[in-house]
Amino acid sequence: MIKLNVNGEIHEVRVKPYWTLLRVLRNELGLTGAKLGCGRGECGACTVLMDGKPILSCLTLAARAEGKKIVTIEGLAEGLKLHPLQEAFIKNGAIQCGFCTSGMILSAKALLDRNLNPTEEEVREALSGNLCRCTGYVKPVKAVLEAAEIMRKGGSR
Amino acid sequence: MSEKELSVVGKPLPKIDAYEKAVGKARYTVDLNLPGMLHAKILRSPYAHARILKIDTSKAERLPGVKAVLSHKEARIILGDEAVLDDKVRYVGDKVAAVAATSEEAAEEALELIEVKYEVLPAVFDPEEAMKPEAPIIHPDVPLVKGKGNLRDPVFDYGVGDVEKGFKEADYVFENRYTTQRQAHCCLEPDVGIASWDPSGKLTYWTSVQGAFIVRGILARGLNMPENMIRVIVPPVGGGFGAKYGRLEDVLCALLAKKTGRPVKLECSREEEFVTTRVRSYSVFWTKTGVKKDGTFTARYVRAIIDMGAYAYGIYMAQRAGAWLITPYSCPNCRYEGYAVYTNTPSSGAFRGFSSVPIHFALESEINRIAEELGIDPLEFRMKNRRKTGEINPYNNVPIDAKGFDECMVKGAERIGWRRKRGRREKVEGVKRRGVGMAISVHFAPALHPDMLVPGVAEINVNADGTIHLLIGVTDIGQGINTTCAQIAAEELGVRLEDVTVSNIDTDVNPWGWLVAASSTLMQTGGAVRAAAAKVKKQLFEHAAKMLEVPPEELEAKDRRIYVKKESERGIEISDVIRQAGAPSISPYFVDAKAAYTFGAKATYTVPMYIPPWGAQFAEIEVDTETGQVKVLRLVAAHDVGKAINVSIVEGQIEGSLQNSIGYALTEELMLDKTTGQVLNPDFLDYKILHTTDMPKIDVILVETNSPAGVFGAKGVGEMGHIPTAAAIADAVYDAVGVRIKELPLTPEKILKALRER
Ligand code: FES
Ligand code: FES
Repeated sequence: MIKLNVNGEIHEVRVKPYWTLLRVLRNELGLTGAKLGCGRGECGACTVLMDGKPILSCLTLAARAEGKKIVTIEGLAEGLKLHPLQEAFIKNGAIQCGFCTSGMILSAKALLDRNLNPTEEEVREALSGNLCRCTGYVKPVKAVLEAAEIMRKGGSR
Repeated sequence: MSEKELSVVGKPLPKIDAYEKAVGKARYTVDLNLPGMLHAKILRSPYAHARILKIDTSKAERLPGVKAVLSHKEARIILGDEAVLDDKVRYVGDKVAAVAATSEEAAEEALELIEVKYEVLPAVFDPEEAMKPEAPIIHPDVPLVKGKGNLRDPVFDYGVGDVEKGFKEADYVFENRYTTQRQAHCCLEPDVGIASWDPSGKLTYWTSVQGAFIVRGILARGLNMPENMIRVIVPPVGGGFGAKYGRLEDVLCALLAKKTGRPVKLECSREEEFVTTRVRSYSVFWTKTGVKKDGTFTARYVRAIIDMGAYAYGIYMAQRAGAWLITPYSCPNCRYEGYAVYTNTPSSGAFRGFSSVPIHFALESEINRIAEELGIDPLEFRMKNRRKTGEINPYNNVPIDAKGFDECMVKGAERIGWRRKRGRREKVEGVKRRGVGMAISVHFAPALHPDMLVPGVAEINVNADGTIHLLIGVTDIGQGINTTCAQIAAEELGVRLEDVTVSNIDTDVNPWGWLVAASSTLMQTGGAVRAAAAKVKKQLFEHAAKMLEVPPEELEAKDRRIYVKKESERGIEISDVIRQAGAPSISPYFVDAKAAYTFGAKATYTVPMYIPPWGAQFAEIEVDTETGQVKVLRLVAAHDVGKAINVSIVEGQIEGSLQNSIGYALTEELMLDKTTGQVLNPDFLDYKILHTTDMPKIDVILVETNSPAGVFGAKGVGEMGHIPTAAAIADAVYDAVGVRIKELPLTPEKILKALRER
């Protein structure tokens, strides 16, 4: 039995020692926003935040997340109020199939939480572990830059 | 309708499904779990070609947690040239047996307990080898061309005029050989399905596909069941690109669920996805071209050899690739020969730019080469030879509509700085050289082939408040067809985008639809949506006309209101039209009753004529002459999209295609071991698709020509961006360093080798 702090809520979960955080999030907690794209740390679809840093939950054992703060895509909006990154992804057409979206948004959030004024290069660098087969990354990168601008102007968080 | 009048179509509105995806609440098939659900795994062949002499599943069956094991003994159900499970395997990764167990771990463990005795057969991995008479025969029971090994019958042979005569008339004859590699789709969501039976004998199947009704058909045939007893539900799909049009694994999953009486989920691993998805084919093109000194074509000939791999899904590729020899340029004598060949390699099949992408690399590269040899600028050469509007396209005997073709070339050339940059062999910092290159593209639109003339179907149900539910038969795989169709319905009916709900596909509910394929979805289904909306509008106008006391022809609908065209202040809310048409009721519960059946319509639509989408792409690249690395600096993609129903969606289609196709040009190749046929790079580390940091600057130019064949003037744009990229980049490499690479992808090794041999 381990205790996981996910999106500010404490969950007590019975896990097998080899279970990954991704598996626990998806199968035990029903948080399916993080996706399994490869299971080998190569695609970024499983990205979540651990103490504010993006990690690949498919390579992280659930037990290692004990005592850490985990944020998943489900924890980003405040009720029905979207995070500026989510707004910007929607508005800019940055979401096609959407399978990479939660990972991208979380990688971007980690960037904007430490640097609200990133260059395009820095955004590309921050998203470089998140594969997308649909968008060519043009609109996701634009969305992150736009969200940064909105947040600089005080558009919440 | 002129553009100014449009209020929903043509706007870059947010996709209607983006909200649930942005917050992680969209439930894809892979996210679904049913009570009591089992997990399935497939045992796959370690050999490229072998007969199964014995298969013993008893140990696997006894493993705790295992509920069912299937082998060819129970599942040798044949569709076409492939069986659900066979007593023969034809590539490394072919299906041998399947297990359903209470956990993925147990299922995997059980696979190891299945004992198989194989008789290994000689195998062949190269299509030109496979056509030799002495090659091992992979499918003895299908029609093959006598004395040509694994060459599938028929050979496709067609054209116009007499090429031999044309070559005699030529001042120069050029010959060449090009090859293109296997490319993997890399949908971020791997293939997955969940089968569940109920005691009435009905099967429900949730799956991630781009053709729900095609899957229903496969299940019905594979299970020998009536179609109404099969319900296919398609939740949001994590990418398709041609990969997901149903597979015999679907039947296998359903069989496991039937045998166990429990729901079964079959989820592909990334490795399986790489090995078993029907790839873009390895292809060989022999080209021969006759030209006059002034650059006029006298004859063009191509022999295409398409590697179908183990099963014949790629046969259409061989059949159709000749369209792209004949359609874009004027030439009195053209001949195309298409050979479809079996090998012991992963099957090939549909992939964005189906049949177009590989042959465009060969033909457009050859055009660039010939222009160069004649001392004509490649852009001028194309302008001179491209078909003119009104000219008959001998491929299908239909007049060409080439509006937009020139504009794509001219605007693209301008944007890249063609005249300033071409032929400069520009040196930058020591060992680096820069160059620019170009290529054009043309592709399917429905009505090119009679068998692609599948009507689109749409159904609209109207609520009493004027909002609507739109049902279509084609799947949103991320390309945004649901949003695009909602915009079309909203525009035609005069409501807002948020007034339209489009549901994902459930074959028990939605009207029939074909595949999301051949850039046809918008043109076919979008056309049907507009036709259905027009019917509903007519019903509304008839009622409104009585209320407003004017003939229906004098009415217009916009922004939820019907009004008199010439007196726009004289109008009525659509919801009031509907409510007043309803039966009077003293109960607020029942006021809407009559409205529910007064308004609503279903329509089908068939695209009237073939009007191709045209495009031109320009690449600026840098070659490091020491390492052979090619860096794409900029890509300009100019496409005649007819009319962008949603600019943001259209741009997104092209931008995504560029990611796919720059990878195709430079880094992506599914590699096989030459002696065993095993896939060597079934992961994202060794199969390299472009990351954010690998992408060049991208300029998308939308040319709008208002196609008379498409709804609101639109053309299909889902595939166009993929088609010319590789040839444009290869041409830019030539412009930079003077070598032409004829084998994709353009790896550093090939470039260095060519530089050494120059
Ligand atoms: S699923 Fe974790 S990196 Fe791909
Ligand atoms: S939107 Fe489909 S993978 Fe990124």
